[in-house]
Amino acid sequence: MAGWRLLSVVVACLVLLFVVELMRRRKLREKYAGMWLLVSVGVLVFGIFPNFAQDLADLVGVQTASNFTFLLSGIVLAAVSLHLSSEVGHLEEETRTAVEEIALLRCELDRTRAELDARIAQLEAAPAPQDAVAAPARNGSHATTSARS
Amino acid sequence: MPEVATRRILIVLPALNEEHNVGAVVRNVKENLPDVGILVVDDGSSDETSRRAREAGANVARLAVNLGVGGAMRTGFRYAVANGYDVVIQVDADGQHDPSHVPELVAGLDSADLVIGARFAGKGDYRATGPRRWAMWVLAFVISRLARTKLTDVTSGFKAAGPRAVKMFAQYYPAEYLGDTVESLVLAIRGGLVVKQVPVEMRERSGGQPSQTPIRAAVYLVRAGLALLLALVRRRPSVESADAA
Repeated sequence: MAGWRLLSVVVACLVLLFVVELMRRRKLREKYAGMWLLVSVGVLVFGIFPNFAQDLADLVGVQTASNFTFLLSGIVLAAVSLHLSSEVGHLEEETRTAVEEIALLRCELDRTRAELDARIAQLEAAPAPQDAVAAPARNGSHATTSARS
Repeated sequence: MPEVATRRILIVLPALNEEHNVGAVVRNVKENLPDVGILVVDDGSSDETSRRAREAGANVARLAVNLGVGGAMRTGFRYAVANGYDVVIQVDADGQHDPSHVPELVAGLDSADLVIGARFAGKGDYRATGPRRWAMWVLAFVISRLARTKLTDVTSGFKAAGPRAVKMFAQYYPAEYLGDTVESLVLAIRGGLVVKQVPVEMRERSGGQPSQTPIRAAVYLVRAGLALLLALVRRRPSVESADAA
C-alpha cells in the first residue's frame, strides 16, 4: 500500500515538474498549461490522500475508488481531446484566412508589377508607339515568371 | 488593362489542377463577356493552372495550400470587395458551365441577392442517379422550403451573388465539405438574402471524369445530410470571429 502511494506521488510530482518545465521553456502556452497543471495537481492530491478518492467515490455512488478514478480520467481525457479538436478547427480557420490573404496580395503584386513594367516600357519606348503597344504583354509575362521563381 | 474601365461584374473561377481546361474557359468567358473582370483562384494546384490562366488573360490568385471551393470563393469575394466589384459570378473552371448564361444570371439579380444556375430546371439533360440523386432531392426540398421558392439544384457551382451577398460572403464563406453550396445557401437565406434560380444547360466536362460509384454516392448522401443539419443548427457566425480570423 505504501509503495503504491509513493509511486503515485512520485508520478504526480514528475508530471507537475514536467509541465512547469515546459512552461518555463515557453514550449507550452499558458492556456493549455493551466489545464495540465490542474490535472497534475489533481493526481498529486489523489496520490497523497487516497481516502479522498474513496470519499468522492462514495459521494457519487461508485463502489470502488479505482473505478471512480478511471471514470474521472476518462472524462478529463475526453474534455482535453475535445478542446484540442476545437483548437485545431480554430487554427485551420486562421491558416485559411492567412492563405487567402497571401493569395490576394500576390495577385495584387503581380498586377502592380505588370502595370509598372508596362508604364516603364511606355516611357522608354515613347517615340515609337507600336513598341509601346507590344511591350506590356511581353513585360507582363516576364513579371509573372520572375514572381514565380 | 481593359477591365479597369468596367469593374462591376467579376467572374471567379475556382480551379484545382485544371491546366487543360482553364485557358479555354477563360478565353470563352472573354469572348462572351468582353468587359468583365476575371479572377482565377488556383486552389493549390500542382500543375500549370496558374500559368495557363494568366496566359489566357485572367488575374490569378494562387492559394498556397488547397482550401477547397469555399476557400477559393471567399478569396474571390474578398477580391471583389477590395476592387470595387458588386457582382460575383462563380463559374467552374472545368468547362461545364456555359458563360453565355451569365447575362441571364445577372438579370436574375434584379429581384434576388443570389441566383443559382440550375441544371434540372427543364433545360439541358443532366441526370444524376441512385443515392446521389436522392441526396440532391432532399437537399433541394429542404432548402426550397427555407428559401420559400422552388430550387431544384442546390449543389450547382454556377451562381451569381449580388452586392449584399458579396458583402456577406466576403466576411464569411464556409470552407467545409459542401460548405460552398449547401451551407452558404442556408447562411444566405438565414441572413435574409433572397435566393432564386435560373435554368441553365450544363455542358459535358471537357476533361476528367465525375466520380460516380455507389459507395461514393452513399458517402455523399450521409455527408450531405450532415452538412445540411449542421448548417441548420449552427449559429450565424459572429462578425467579430470573421474579422479576427
